[in-house]
Amino acid sequence: MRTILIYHKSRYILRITLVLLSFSYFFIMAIYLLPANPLKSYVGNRILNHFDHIFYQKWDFFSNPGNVHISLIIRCDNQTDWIDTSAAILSEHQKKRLPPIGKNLYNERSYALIANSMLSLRQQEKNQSYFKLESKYSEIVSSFSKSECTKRGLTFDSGEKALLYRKLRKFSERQSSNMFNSYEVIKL
Amino acid sequence: MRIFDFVFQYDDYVLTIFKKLVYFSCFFYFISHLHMIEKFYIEDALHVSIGCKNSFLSYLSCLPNRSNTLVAFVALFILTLLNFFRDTFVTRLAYWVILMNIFSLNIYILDGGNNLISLISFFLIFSFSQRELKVAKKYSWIFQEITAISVFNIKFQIVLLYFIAGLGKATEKIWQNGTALYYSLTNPEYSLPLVFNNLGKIPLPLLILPSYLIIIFQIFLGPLLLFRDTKIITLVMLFLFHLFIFIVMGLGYFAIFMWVSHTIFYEKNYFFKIQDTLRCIEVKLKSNFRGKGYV
Repeated sequence: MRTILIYHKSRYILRITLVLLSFSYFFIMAIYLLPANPLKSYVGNRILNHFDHIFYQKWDFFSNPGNVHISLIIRCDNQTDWIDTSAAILSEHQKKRLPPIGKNLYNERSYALIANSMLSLRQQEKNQSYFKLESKYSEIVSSFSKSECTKRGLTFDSGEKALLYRKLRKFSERQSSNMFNSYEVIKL
Repeated sequence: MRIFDFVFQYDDYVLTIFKKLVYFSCFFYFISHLHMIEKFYIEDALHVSIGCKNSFLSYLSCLPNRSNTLVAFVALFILTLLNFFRDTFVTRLAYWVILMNIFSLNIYILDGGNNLISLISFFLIFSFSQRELKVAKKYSWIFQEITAISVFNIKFQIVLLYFIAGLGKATEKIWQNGTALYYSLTNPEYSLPLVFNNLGKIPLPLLILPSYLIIIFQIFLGPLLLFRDTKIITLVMLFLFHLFIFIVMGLGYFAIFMWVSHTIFYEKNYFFKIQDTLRCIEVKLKSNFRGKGYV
């Protein structure tokens, strides 16, 4: 009888402990997932940095699909035409939906996103971490541009790279046959 | 005590199949990406700005670098096979550490599926198999309770994912006016030429109403999965929702990982029903082949 009582008591304590542990995890996770607020900034540096590394999660996908399509375009040495680095893989991805073409596309697209981050970084306040990040991004984009030219049997010593921003057609223009309604090129 | 009873209930058969599906899908993912191991490594903003050696915990997610990515991949293959056939606490722990590391190498090529599988693998560390429970003998009840709460946490994490995604959508103007689906499908990266060229021909209600239905479905997914009457239809809807994402939006691995994660909500008899249906299809296909003289 005594053993059964001890068993029930320990089981009760264990359950309470496990529920409290889970509750704490999801409570911190809730703070982590919430938009910026004073509580988040107070807890921020102490706990949430670990969450960024180990329990990183971001679930607001497609909450803002955006209305701009960004592409990294390059011009190899002695060339007059710009090359859209992700155009070929994008058209392959649209023909074949089977993996891993999708991931290859996002890999190629990642360079455009890195270049875009680099541009937005240049508009921010410049500090030590800025220079570290900026040079890292610049190195990644340059080596990718070089490899793209080499793939085509060309060189990239005095080549150019730029970002092409294409604005998607508006909802009110959905009957139009043009996919994009305006273009903007920013040289890197 | 009774109030926690629903938290501490799980089906070992479902958990075993779920675990095997998680490990198999990851194995399939890495096998199909072997040719781009080198491309996995892009030192992302997160690691550069925060720094990997601030503390032991942050160091844990910065183990591989450009030179040892291949080693991490090989270790992951071995651990996947071990976990698939004979998992232990240590193999599951090592698997999670390496998986989290590989997934944090290049944040630009990741999607929600990778992220969720990494989080699920963490909770799976504490999901003990019947074989492990037998070894624990008279203390097996302790491990059983830990397994039960880890299963509950996986379920809660999945529901949380949809809830946050739904809430994020509900607060955006583009979803409030119902044009978000249009803008998602106009982007050539997340659409098909057949779809984005014909968006203008789709009747307005069919273009607007799904946006609102998606928000309602994602926010109320938890309660819908709680009741047995609505559970099956909800799981079918989830399957179709991700099938659309797979085919039209082209996010194949995201859909596969999400389908795998949904199996934790299945009941034992669902698997038998799926098995029966697949067997019926197989028989029908075979009889069709015979009729046409192929066999």
